[in-house]
Amino acid sequence: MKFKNLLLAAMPFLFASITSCSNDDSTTEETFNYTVPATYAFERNAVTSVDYSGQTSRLLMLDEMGNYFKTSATNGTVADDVVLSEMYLNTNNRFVGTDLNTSGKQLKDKTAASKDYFTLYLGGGSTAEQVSVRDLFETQFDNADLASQGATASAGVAGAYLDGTSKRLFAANGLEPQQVLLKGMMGACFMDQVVNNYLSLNKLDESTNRADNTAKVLVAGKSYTTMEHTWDEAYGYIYGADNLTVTPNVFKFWSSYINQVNADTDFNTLKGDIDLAFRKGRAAIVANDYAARDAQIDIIKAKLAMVPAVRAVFYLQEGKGKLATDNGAGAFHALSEGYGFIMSLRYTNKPGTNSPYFTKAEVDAMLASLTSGTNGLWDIDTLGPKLDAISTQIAAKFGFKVIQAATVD
Amino acid sequence: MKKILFILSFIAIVIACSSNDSSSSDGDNYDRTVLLTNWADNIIIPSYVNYQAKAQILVSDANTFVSNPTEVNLQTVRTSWIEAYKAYQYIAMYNLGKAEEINLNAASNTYPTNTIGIESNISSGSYDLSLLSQFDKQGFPALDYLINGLGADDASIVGFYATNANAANYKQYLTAVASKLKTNADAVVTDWNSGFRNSYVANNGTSVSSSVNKTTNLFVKNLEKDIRTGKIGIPAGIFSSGVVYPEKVEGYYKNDISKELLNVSVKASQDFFNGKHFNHTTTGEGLKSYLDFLNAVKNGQKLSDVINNQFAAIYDVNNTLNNSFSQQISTDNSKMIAAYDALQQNVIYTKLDMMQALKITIDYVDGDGD
Repeated sequence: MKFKNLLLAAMPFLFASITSCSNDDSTTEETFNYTVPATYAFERNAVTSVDYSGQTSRLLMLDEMGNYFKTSATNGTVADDVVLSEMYLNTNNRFVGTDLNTSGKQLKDKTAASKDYFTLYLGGGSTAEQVSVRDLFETQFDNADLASQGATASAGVAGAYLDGTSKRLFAANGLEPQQVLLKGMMGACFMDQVVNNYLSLNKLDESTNRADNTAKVLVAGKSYTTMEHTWDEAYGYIYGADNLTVTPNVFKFWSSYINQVNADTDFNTLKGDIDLAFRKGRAAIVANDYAARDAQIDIIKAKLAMVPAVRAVFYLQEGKGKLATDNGAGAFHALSEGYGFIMSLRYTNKPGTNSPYFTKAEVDAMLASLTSGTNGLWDIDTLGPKLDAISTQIAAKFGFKVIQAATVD
Repeated sequence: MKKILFILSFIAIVIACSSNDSSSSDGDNYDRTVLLTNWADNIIIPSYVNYQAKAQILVSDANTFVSNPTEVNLQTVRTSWIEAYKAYQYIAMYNLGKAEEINLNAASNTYPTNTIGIESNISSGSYDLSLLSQFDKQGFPALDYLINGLGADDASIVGFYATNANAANYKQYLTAVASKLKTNADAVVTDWNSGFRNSYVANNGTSVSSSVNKTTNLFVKNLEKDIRTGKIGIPAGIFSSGVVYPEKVEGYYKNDISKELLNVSVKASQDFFNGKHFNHTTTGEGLKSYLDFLNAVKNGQKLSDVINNQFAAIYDVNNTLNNSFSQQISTDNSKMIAAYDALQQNVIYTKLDMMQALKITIDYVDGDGD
């Protein structure tokens, strides 16, 4: 009887020891019993354990910065580079609501600031690059200021012009500072934070995170473990400014572009795949199923990288089709969007490599090619072949055809 | 039968767990006692003894200046201040035992110094330099202000100690700050020589509080926080979204010694890594030989070589810097960024690769916030 009890007591221990030592042995598999919720909702003791308010703040900040450019162009007021710099740094109460002003969050210190690329210098990153990227965004503020002084944009002249029904600001080289900022920051901040920071094992598993998560040691005063929160912060950089309680639903930044890519039958599983991977990964963390978590990380990294790739090709091709409109000016908005999405590719993270799909040098070469003509984009006669070459280069890397991305059907 | 099963189950556990984990809890058979002996006897204690001697000279020269405030005597204090400041760089990482207890580092080198607080202490003539709140009003940065920063030229600085209405208080403060450095040094040297050395060497295990773990953590932390962040990162605006702080460089009032202090501290760090005896060409056991013992490699190269090569790269970049970092920041901050990058690369090699190879856990956290 006593032995029987002892044996019974030893059995789970034996099982646990075999599974815990089986990491490098694929023949035995640990089984977990947990369900993946239908929406990204997780609770502990009847209180939500999901929190990404810091991410929401940053998304809203970028949104408001984008609107500042727009208002300036529409109303013909100066886009003050000082104001934009202060918004970027969140200083001097430049945002409309006090919530953002007092959030303690800013966009600038999270620009090119991921642990993997800009602390551990994986993927070719460095602090010098971080500084230059932040400077590049500051330059967009100067460009917008210059373009908003009343001139009409033309070859080599910064200014505004009416593009369809929207008045927009353009730098002397034809690039739209607003789009370089918005799409560029989606890469340098949001994408970088998601795939190279919060979904990095160096972040998720840093310090005692894994042991704490397994033991469900909660962050002081919170209802989540550090690892759960880290995962939520990745989620928040994609979906953090969405609002599904209003009609029509609001989707911002990556969430919005995931939808736009997904609207094309060639890519119509993308939205579901990313959404599911986030839910699965979060549930896996709750259940201490780290292998499942890691598999979801790879899915998210690969699928999310498709978004700037597909959208870059889409906009380059859209721009190409409009080169004959208004001496090319009709194309520049689309090309500026494409330019920003190409910038974003530098911050992707190809699963298993801890490096981007395109190196910084490759991305820089594509960007340089786009503006290599006399007066940049205004050199429309030479632009067509460049747009095709870059489109093909991106499509080939990600395994789709240019035509698939160019037409949403 | 059941008994046999029970025993078998434990055998299974042992086998299952030993196959993919070659390191036993007893460690890696590396002789930590020899390592700790070299660190204590040939590196740490001699570095402190040297620092103590330099602090003594500083106190003597400060006393001479105070009793006879001339420009010549001021210049002598300056020289001994620089020598002591450089000697300090060699002990800055050993925040152990008595040094940790008395906060020697914070008391010796908190910068930027609090000039308003210093002036307030001087005018009141009443202060207790052992208080935590006084750490930014003493040490080398406070002396920097007192002997380099009070006036625009030597004559006007001497005036504070000769003709100023409050000259007596200025004299008293200079003496007090210099003496504090010396008494702190004395306390640490005494501690090492009266028992701490033996307990340090005897604490040769692999636990979080073992001497090897603690000292190795201090080495990495010094490189990351004191050298990379303090000397370069903060003034160059790396932690303030590009807003630069040229007034936050080390040795701001003397102004032309930031680079020298940086290079000395990097040298101290590298020497420790290599187990090099203080002020000798001999090298003994150190992190380098420990890594080599473990055959630690990175990208097909010995990790110890990778780290030493990076130290060489750090000196190369540092050599492009102006002697005055505040000037460098104002004229071309990108060179400071490059110096930061070079240092950070070695933080990565040591904090990540080296600690992983040594199976030592980092015992301090980076509060990077959300």
